[in-house]
Amino acid sequence: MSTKTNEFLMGAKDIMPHHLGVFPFGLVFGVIAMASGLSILEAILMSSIIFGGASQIVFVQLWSAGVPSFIVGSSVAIVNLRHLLYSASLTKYVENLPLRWRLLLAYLLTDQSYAVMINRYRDKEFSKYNHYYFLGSGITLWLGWQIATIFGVLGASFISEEWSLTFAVSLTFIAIVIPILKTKADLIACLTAGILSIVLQPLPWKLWLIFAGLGGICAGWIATILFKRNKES
Amino acid sequence: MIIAGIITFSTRFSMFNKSIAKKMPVWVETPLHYVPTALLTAIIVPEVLINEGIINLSIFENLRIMAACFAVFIALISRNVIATIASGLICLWLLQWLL
Repeated sequence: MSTKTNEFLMGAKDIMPHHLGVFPFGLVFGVIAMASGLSILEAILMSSIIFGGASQIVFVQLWSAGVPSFIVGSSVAIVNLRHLLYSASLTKYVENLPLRWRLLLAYLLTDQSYAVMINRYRDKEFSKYNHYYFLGSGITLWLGWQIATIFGVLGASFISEEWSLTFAVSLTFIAIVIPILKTKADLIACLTAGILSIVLQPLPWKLWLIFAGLGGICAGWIATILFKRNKES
Repeated sequence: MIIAGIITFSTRFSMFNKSIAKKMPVWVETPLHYVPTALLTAIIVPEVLINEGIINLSIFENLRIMAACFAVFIALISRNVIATIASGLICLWLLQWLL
């Protein structure tokens, strides 16, 4: 077996646990999309065009609540800010790949594929074919997401609220956030964002999302600076 | 929708482009480090605490709180994705069935 195939399959295998969270997430998206008045085609297309669970759910929730489109755009952009970080920390592994590869991998970059990618690079030595690993994990996640969306859209009327599938979305994110909380500053960022997201609920247009996010980022940033100063003095 | 797609793609592609990656000042790394934590937490917390548009902090009425705490605990000790998601869902279903 060639190394390329090996890498591809290994990527596909390592992303498997994440499907457990992604599948209900896709179902939930399909159901919410139908409930918010999108057509079947629009909902399915959105999963290929945006291909980002959090972004898509934020989009349909705000859109159906009649939030002005520039706020919908800014909220999606803020939710997406984390991809900037993912993208930045993978730069050194992909910068020498041809443009078509970089375009494809960028499209496939998600919370889940980032989580497995970064583990791969940390644990094992750098291989020439690592991009096939990225591709393997990305493509399988993409397929899983599309299938889940289609099931969600078509089964919207059969899927019961009692199954609490929306809770699976929170659980997926808990599984991603908890392992990255490593320092006191991380914890401060997390707590600040969490508290603000509740306190700021009365804001119109679901602006709490933007402000809680920015608040958490600033809190972590300030904490980093303060801790550094304490160490120096 | 197309615009949201373009926004999403461009943030993902941004740093895969050498010239843009080089222009990024070093200081942005610190705030960027907190982006996933802050944003994902801001999505999780209201999802857990708010039931049908109302903040519900009662741990016996809002069973998601207990299930989420249990999932956090499992995530802390196992650092395993399947274990976290499965334990949270099973815990919630069990509580719903028991209470």
